[in-house]
Amino acid sequence: MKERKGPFGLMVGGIVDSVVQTARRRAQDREPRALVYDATGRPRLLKQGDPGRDGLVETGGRLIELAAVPAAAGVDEELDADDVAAAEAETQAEAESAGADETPGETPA
Amino acid sequence: MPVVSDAGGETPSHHRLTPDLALAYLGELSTDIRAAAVLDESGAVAAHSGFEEGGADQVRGLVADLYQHAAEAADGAAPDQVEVTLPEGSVFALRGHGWTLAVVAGRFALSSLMFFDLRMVIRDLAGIGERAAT
Repeated sequence: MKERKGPFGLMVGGIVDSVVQTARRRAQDREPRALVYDATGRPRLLKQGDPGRDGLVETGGRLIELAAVPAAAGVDEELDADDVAAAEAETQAEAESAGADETPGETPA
Repeated sequence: MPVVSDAGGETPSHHRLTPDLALAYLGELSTDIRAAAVLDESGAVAAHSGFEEGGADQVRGLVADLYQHAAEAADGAAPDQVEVTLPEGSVFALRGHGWTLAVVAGRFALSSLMFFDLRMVIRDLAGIGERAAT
């Protein structure tokens, strides 16, 4: 690999390293993690291929799936959709009434 | 009023939390929690919230599976504390004093805080000691 020299090279190198590290960190964040804790509360991160790890990840995923989507979110979305429809209807009605008031050839104020 | 020494806080108190109250209390403690279940000594779901309606049997089975897989993963004794983090969320499970708590939370929930809260609630369910935060 070519050595980075000079302030510009160092700056570019720093940015590239930062981007690479961020991408790596994000990939690690997306990776499933399973931990078991011993009696003293010390965690042990299970590695790929460790016994029980895949089962834990699968079971955890099913529990997460079973957790229902909050009902309030659905209600809000419905309300938002209703609000938008009502606002659109109101705007259209206003536009129509404004159009009816206009006399052809007259410039609206 | 006499002061009784109870350094470990293991003396049963009369302020025992019910499973339903435990869920409500957990909900107050953490806004990260999406769903939670309280299982009794027999492994039956005593109370749950946030899971699909009628999902108690599924929750019971999945929590049992969780601890079974955790036992496979453990070197020695079966662990009482398990954590699984996926992009979609996190699962925390803790058992003790005859009770098991399983919680589904957001992906970025802090495990140390979550387990502290779960431990406190389990102690309250068992009627042990005084609550840490009043």
